Amino acid sequence: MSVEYATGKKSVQALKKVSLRMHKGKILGVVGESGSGKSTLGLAIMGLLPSNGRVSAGKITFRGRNVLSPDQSRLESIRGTGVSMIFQEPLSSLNPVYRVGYQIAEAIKARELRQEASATSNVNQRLFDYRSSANYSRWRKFSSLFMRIKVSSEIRKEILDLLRAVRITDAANVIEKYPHELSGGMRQRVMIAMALAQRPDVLIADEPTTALDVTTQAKVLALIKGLTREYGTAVMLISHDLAVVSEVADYVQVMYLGEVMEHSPSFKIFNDPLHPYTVGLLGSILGTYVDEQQLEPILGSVPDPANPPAGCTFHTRCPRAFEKCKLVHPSPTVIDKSVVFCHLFGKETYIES
Amino acid sequence: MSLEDCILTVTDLTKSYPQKSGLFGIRKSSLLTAVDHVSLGFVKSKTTAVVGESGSGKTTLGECILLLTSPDSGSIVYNGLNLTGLKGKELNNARRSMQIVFQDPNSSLNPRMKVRDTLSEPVIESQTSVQELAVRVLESVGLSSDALDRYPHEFSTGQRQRIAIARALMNNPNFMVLDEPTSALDVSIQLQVLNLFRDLQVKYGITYMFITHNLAVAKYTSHFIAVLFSGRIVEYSSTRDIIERPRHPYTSALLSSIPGSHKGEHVLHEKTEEPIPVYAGCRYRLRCPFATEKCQEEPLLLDASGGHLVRCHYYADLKL
Repeated sequence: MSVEYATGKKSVQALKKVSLRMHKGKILGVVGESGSGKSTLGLAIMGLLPSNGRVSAGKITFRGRNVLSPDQSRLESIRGTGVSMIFQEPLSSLNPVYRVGYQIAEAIKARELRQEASATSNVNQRLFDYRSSANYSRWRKFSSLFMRIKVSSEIRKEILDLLRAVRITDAANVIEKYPHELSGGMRQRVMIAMALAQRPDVLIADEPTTALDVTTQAKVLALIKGLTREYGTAVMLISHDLAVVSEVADYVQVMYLGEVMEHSPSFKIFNDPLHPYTVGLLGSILGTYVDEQQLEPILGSVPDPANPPAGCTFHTRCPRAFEKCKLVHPSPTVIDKSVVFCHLFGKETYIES
Repeated sequence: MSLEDCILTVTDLTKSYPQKSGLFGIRKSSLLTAVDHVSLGFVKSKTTAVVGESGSGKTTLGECILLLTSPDSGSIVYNGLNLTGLKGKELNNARRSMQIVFQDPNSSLNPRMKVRDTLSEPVIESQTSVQELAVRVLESVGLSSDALDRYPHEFSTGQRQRIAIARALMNNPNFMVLDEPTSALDVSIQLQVLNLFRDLQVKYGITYMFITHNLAVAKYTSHFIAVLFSGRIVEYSSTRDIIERPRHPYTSALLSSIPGSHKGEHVLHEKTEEPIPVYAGCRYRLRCPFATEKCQEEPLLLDASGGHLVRCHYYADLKL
């Protein structure tokens, strides 16, 4: 898949021929610095690219169907029950004027409607009918005007179960609260609960812990990992921090300037990294080993994505770059279970990018 | 650590904010104590990290030390001078050699000022010498002199943070407060900046107060670590001591939550999720997995062994 953004005179290639697979019950970590296109990747899959962005090539297949069809309804149905997303800043992605419980109830309601509808006919039409029906608006008014959640006891029970699943202890209290009354970690949990309410097959978490304290971060990561095991959800964990990813991911995809540098099983990335960029990122992790010497950072900074270097995009900062790297774009090389885009590695096998 | 080694000592520093409630915040219902009787010494030419979660009062402590906010009580003695008694010009003169670097260079640099102006603003000297100084300082933070006539937006975030550091260096500081200086930066850039701080310290003998929420960063940069919880120091010792043998359950929770540390899962055993403010006894007791009846009594900051200070009733018994 490739994605480009239109900016003024020319377009910026935010993603260049990125391929990936997500497996049931596994966590894929997507790592990169700012400008690597990791967030664009998540947004493109969700169909949430900003208006100046578009998928210029490639396809996204979900359950054997291409999502990127001109038919918008298919995308809608995928967003609802198939794929959910957790954003970095929970305060800006929760609605400040509705109580938490109401917002989760809405997610449950949407799921139920879609499940009903998928058995019958057009999803969007059903959803539209329901939204314009008296029943829906009454429900909406009830919950907002009286500021209490008036929902069936089943839904209420489900909300409580969801909140308990994300380890909120006094769930009955929390559902009556507004987002601003909760701490950062609690809000992030509510976001996760909302995503789970849709019972997604795929969960895209874009820097879910970056705004949180380290202690809360550890708890949220453990939570995501536990839920994957329990519900078999495929998770894409997008992060700039390789250490965060190392905690939970099964597979890791390292990205730089919109391109894949390396894709490996987690244990391989951390024990036997191939790409010099991966090595550099690993070297930048501050650990807790007491006898650590001064660490060597990756030199320089990320080039402007609008003017990426020719050849291998990383050659300007690569300590092992040679002449060929400046001229020729590396092809993928498969080594064991890893795929690496680097001239340092042999040409035994080529796969289609 | 003896008092003579310290360039700056803080004694019994307290700062509280009234919590306003009611319509238009008219009613002042309670006081929130952000910094609660903190005493801390900063050893000359060394880095002391102040570590804690958001809301622990670490930033307020930094601001109080530079008197950017005035503390309610307590004293700050810098180079033998009590800063809390000073006002106006005297204060400005006294703290000229104290500087601060903020978290986000995008908001701490004036976008309408050229780097030249940003750097020369804090200096009161004749123009020619400022020029030379600016070039020298820029070089010491790894930027070239052609940066002088450019605006902040022409630089990357990492370079902007270097400019902010350069500005702090213009007055030849002895003491610098670094308030989460790398948390807005990419991981690869973070390490560059941390190494820069280290080089500057070796070169100029600057004393740092390094405020961070990340114990791994503190471990990499500092010589001493003070762990702050709810406005109080709960543990203080040399970095090696804290990392190898934490004695307070909260420090241990912080350590275990460093991603990739695999130091056990202590943090996951914390009891509650919501930090309910506690104003008597041990502040951490509602989250502490080891808390007992006794924790409702006030624990004191005691010397556990050779200068390792801990505020916990059970520091001797806990196996962390």
